[in-house]
Amino acid sequence: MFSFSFGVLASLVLAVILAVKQERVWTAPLYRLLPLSETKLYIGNVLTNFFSWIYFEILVVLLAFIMGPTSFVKILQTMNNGSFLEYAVGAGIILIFPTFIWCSVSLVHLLTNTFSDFLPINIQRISRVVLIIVLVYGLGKISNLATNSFTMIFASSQATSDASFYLSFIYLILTTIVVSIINIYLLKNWVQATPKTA
Amino acid sequence: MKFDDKIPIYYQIKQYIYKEIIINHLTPGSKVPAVRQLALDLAVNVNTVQRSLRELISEGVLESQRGKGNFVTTNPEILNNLRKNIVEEQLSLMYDHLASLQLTPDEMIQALTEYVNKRKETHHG
Amino acid sequence: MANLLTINHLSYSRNLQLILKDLNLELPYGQIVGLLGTNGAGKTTLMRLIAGNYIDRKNSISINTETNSAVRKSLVSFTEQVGGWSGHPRIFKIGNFYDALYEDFNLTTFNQLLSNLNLSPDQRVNQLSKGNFRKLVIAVTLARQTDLYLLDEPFDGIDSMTRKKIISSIIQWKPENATVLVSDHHVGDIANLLDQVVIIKDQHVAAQEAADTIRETLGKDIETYYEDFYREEL
Repeated sequence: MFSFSFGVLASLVLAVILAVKQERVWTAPLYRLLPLSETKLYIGNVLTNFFSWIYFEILVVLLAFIMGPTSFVKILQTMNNGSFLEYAVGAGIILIFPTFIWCSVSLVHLLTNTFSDFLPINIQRISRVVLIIVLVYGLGKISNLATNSFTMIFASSQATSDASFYLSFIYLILTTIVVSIINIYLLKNWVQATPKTA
Repeated sequence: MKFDDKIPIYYQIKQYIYKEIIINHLTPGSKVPAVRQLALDLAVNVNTVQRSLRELISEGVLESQRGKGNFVTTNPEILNNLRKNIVEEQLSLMYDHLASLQLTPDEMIQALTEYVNKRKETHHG
Repeated sequence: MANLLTINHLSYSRNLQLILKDLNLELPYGQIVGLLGTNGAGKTTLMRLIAGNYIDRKNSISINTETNSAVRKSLVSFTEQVGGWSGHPRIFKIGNFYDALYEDFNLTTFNQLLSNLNLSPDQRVNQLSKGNFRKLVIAVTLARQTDLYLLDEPFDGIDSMTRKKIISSIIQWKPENATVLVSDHHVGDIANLLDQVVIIKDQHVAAQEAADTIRETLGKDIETYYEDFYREEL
């Protein structure tokens, strides 16, 4: 049980580290000067994080098993009442959810950068904070609206918990793709490297 | 080598090679270092060295042999002219300077003879 | 042969400041070109736009007739691509890093450059002095075999021995057809090296002149020529 909660904590820390890593790439000359299209750079960066995450989660599970094989098996037994598909989708959500969060963070970051380029240099500190607050609020509203209409359209007729579980998985993937398309557009056309001021 | 910033570098490189030939650092028939090597030695652009060598070749001072490199000419006439021209160039500079000081040609010869003798003495003494 | 670099009517502003305005420039293959201008004239910005880490939204810049930024990036080796690694890697690790990421990076050339510049592959980047870091930047930049090299202030704040070493490296390792654009605010450092100079002033190219013409026809040294551009205003 101890190893389990340790795994959760470590995963959280890793999620933050990977988020920072992903954001750095968008504005680092080191990466922006690579002879790649913005689409490839974006997909490469996001997939790197995605696989780092999967790799780490596999390690966590292995470690949990090695540190306490009996309690590990016990935990497995207590969740032994679902179908294989349910577990697969559940695992899918755990694996994809961080990517969704990272891409959303990127969206806020890239939009902040884009707008900041049109604001005077001497108010950047304040304007960035204001922009982030406004963007998080605005994007939250939009995503609420999107989620509501999504559930209205697809889940209202047969609102079983199983169906909404699968639907939320599909919804997660769709949103990640939409956010990514916007991110790539921003990278291609608006977001420029911010070199270190020497 | 130190360059004068107001004179085209290719011209100064030509002068440098003339001098190397006259004082026999580059003997007749010997190979001139490769372009890039010369550029490195003189800390100048490869294109500049190329321009100098091109002009030296068209003057006949250097002879280019395909695939082998550039060689100092063995033509005695060209080598003699080279020496003559260089000396004449220095003399013409001196003549102009002295003329601007309103020395007559005879006074110039006298001054030069005296100066040369003076240098000889200090050299021997 | 067509030009290596062509810039047509390039304007650029950021944070409500106009930095470049209707700038035009053409550079041929196989030259060393000095980019001169006072601090803040826009030399670095111009290089960033050419290299592609600043966005040229109107496709004003073409290298080898290519305006696509990904293709352009493959044709340009810019000093700003060096730095910003995570942690404090050793120099040989940095070589491996660029070798993996750039098709045109030559590890053998890189190692030869390191030894010419007296850098040891085992040194860690955070332990390098300013001059040695500049040398590393030059080594990485020149180890790529490409058409256009952008060296942004490579001699800024370094001693004359290091400067000479860097100059030799440029002479030795520049591919014959490649062009090097080097910015500097002390022209004297590189005057002997230049085929031509480009002067940036008032947000555009105020002059572009061959070094030989400046010396032969105008009878000036490059430094005076450059300074005269600013003196005329006073």
